[in-house]
Amino acid sequence: MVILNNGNTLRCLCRFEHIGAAYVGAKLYAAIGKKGITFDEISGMNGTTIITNIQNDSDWQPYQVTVDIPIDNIGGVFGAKPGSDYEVMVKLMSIPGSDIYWYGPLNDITLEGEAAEAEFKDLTVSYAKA
Amino acid sequence: MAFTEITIIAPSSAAWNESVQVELKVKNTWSSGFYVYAVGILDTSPRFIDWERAWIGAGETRSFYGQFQMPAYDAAINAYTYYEASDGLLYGDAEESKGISIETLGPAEFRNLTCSYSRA
Repeated sequence: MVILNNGNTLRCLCRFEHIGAAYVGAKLYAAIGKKGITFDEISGMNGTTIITNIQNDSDWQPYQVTVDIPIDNIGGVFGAKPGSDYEVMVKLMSIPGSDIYWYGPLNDITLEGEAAEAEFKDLTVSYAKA
Repeated sequence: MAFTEITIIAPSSAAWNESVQVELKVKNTWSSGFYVYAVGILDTSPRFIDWERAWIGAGETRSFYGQFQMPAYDAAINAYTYYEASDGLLYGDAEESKGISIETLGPAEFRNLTCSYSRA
């Protein structure tokens, strides 16, 4: 379980393997959200690293790349709601073939923060001749 | 008649731009020691072992090391030795050659994505 507050960074240390010709342009994308049928990302809570060092590999070779997710939008009117039911998703993208996904354990990310500053609802009006 | 024997230790193939390590083992087959110069050349250039000089005793073997980046085509590793005679001049002695073929790699493939994370 990782607890995050505004001002933190979630550092994702990603590993994968490569074989074949050198490749330029692959990206690692990491995000925090909730996994259901699809992965529902929290807007703005993600990070991307462009991978520049993939060489010719005649055998499967391990690579390690870091992706940072800055945490700066918990709470507030438009920010993520605090909670302990979030997960991490990582995607290896812009590669030949399909993107490769990795999902972290369920409910492993807790977002702590203040509740929304002010909320309003249920506006009703009654009126009479005066 | 040559006074040295060259053995080239190198892979028989390499991928484009791969760093290829080469060892030239030079044996003095003469009955006394002398200074030997070793030269290693990929095709006709560049020299990846560039006139390296060493004393090699009678019957002894000395290794010379170099490396180059594999070009995008089949190539030849050429090795030469020269000996320094008592008149101070250099004389060509032995030569040896070994082919190195380009490995054709398939397209890039990726697998086994995993991740660990922590607050930073």
